[in-house]
Amino acid sequence: MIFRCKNCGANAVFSPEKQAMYCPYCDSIDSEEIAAGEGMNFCINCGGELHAGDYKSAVKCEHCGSYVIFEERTSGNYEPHLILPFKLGKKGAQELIKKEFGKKPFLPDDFLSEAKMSEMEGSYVPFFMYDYACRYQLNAQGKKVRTWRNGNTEYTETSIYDIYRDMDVDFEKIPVDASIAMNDEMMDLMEPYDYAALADFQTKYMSGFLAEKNNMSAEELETRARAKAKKDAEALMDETLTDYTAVTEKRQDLNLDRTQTNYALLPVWSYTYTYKGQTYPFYINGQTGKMTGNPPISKAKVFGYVATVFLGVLAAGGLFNLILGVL
Amino acid sequence: MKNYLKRFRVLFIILACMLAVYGVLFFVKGNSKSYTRTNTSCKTEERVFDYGELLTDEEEESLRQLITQREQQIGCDIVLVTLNEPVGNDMYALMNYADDFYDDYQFGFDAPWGDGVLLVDNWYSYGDYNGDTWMSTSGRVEDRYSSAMINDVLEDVFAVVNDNPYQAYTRYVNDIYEDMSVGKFGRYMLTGVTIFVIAAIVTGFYLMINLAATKTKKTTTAQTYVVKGASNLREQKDTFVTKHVTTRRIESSSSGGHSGGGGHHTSSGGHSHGGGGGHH
Repeated sequence: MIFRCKNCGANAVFSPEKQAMYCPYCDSIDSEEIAAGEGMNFCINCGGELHAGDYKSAVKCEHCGSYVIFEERTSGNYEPHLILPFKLGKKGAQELIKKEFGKKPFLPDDFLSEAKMSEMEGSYVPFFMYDYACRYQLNAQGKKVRTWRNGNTEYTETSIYDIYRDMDVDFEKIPVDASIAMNDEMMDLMEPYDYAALADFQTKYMSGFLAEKNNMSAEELETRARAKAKKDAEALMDETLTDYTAVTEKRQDLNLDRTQTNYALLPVWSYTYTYKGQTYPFYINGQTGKMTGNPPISKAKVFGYVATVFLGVLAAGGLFNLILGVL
Repeated sequence: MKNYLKRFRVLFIILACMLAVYGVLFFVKGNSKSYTRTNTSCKTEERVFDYGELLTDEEEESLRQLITQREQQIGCDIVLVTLNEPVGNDMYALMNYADDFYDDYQFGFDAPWGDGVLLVDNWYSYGDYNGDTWMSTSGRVEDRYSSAMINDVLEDVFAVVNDNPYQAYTRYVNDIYEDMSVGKFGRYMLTGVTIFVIAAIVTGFYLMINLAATKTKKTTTAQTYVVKGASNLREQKDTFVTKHVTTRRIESSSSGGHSGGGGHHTSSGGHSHGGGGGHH
């Protein structure tokens, strides 16, 4: 399917800035109507060939530029429960990258060029969000050490305690990305999202962006969610043990009971830069603007700039001496 | 290229300003630097006292002309004394001789016992060497010259004095000129090694700051995904088991130090001199 503007027939897209459907050709707001597609092979707008691959649920037609959404991958078993609409627009994302890297001296010349930056695309990344009821019981031995001084003698008192804790904690919507193409570590760094803006899924939010359906099942990905929940539970438990100098664990019993799972699409801006045969991905949270990615280094620039600084300081030192000599 | 110039514009502006300042100073002061002697109490016009008969008349005259020219350029008296007679079997005797010679004639370009330097080269040998040399400094020359700088001048002299005394004494005069022509702030000049080290450190910092990868920080906490109010400590028990106390005697320590002195002294006439000497 595509969203068409009733007024001019062009592709209407979701505008993050306006938080509404928008026609970039006639500036109409909320003038969209659905034009149903016929399969995933051809563009409903121009008939051009589409490349849906195994997981894509929304693509941009290479021929006419329309954003085509596949009903086959956004409905039935693949219908997300929730979607977090883009809040950050393309220009905003580009400005963030320029602000972050604009003053870095060793980047290749075209890293921030308009041509390269225009290739930036917004994508809805599939996530599973896990809810857990956690019970955590801990038996441990704690040590408190106190030191004081009297005259020339230092006293060290070590007190030993038996510790018992029994804690309940409920986790809600721990996100794990369900996309093979997205780097897990980088996706984790996109967190947190502001869940207050989560909305019930509607395909109109996808118009104007790329998207994938979940590449794996919630069960296959749960190990990562459990690891996150366990780490957070342990950190919360540690907060109850701050009076102790050292804690030696004797026995711990941590139970995570999965209570609910949501399938959601979360917004991410992607900028992929290729330099000397290597790919450098950058991701920006499409809601909060948080960014992750490491840019390449131009060795020629490093050499040239370092030589300039070194010779410049040498020259300044020489001129300093010459001026003193004449004074 | 445009980006390169823009990025280093501050550095280039600083260098251009320094170059301009140097150019103006050189134009105003550098070319026209000439001192006028103001010491009217000096008891002699002579600067070359060749008692040791080491120089020909032509060489003496040539040295006198050189000294006259250099004195006007740096505003300091430059005196040479050669001897071939016993003045005492240690450097202090030669130092006293040099200081007294300077004081007795009331040398000093600006005033009696003022700015100037005197080199005594005694070819009377007390051992396995040809002679002793002492360089006595006074006034601005005393302020300017460290022990290391005096050693540098003496090394220059000793390198050729046994084969060609005239050349050695010419070196002495020219070394004094070079060291004193750097102006009154010359002591603050940086050595080549210092400039190199500063440049290396600045470059190192520049490289470190700009190569440091901006690692994205994790901004979630243990509370991020906890349902509000749904973290509950059902039970918390801390049971005391035992305790023990250890003691340690603290050793007191003390530290001390010593201070050193400089190379300046006062002559028998009560005037301050610096200096240094050696054998050749």
